[in-house]
Amino acid sequence: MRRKRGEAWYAKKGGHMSILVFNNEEVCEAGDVTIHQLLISRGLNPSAVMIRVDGRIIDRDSYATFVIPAGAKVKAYPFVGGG
Amino acid sequence: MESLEAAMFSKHDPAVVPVLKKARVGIAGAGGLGSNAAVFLARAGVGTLVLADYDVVEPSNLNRQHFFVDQIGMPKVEALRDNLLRINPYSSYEIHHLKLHKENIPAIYENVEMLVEAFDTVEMKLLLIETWVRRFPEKPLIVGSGIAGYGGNNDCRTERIFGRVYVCGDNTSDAVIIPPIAPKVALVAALQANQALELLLEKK
Repeated sequence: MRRKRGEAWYAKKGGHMSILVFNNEEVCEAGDVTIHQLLISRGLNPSAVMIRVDGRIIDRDSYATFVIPAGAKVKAYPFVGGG
Repeated sequence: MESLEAAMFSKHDPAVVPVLKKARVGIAGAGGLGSNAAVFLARAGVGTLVLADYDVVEPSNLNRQHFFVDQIGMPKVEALRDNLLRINPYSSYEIHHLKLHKENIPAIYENVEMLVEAFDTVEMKLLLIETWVRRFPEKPLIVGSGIAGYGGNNDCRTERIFGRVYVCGDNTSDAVIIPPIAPKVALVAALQANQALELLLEKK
């Protein structure tokens, strides 16, 4: 769910939400969700998205178990096939 | 008398020629993106290309990959090396006919300055990015994403997504859904090769 900018600012200041950056838009999400749940809630296919949490690439094997820490900055990078 | 090699690059800025000649670029995959990017880089005078792919040339590859009818059935890396030697015999082409995976990627590409990602599946693209960024965070990685269909010239672009990772393509057209065709595949391969040249020559 897209929230107001004020809440994004609050989250950046260390509030109890994480920030998902997708296509350069910031979206606040409630904490205590796994990466898998977050991606599904945004309509993204977890097997085609790379995730960085606070700058660190997360192994795809751990998307279902990795709980996003409060205040973390999550960046999603979707890719498509073909080469 | 001027050598053939000197004559071939006589249209280049003289300051560029030696920099490209000593450059070492890796290409992971020798399909649509990899074969076309390799042709562009060999033609530009990149001195060493390290190529890896497990596949053989099939008839259905010929609508977009830089191979010929008489090469059907050959390992792609061998066919590609033969073609590159016909274009620029003064460069070196190191080939590996094998399937790349997390364990062998660092050893095969240890001595390259940068890597062009040219895999088919998203799974392999993501695996390569994860492996590369962990092992060689300081070396550029140029990924292709979104190469399928036709038209949409102006949707194709290059973006540095973080660190030294660049993504070329429209990042939308999925080859699993839309069949890939020669011009757009070569367009994205050219974006990757051109990005490689920009990075190789930025400190010239």
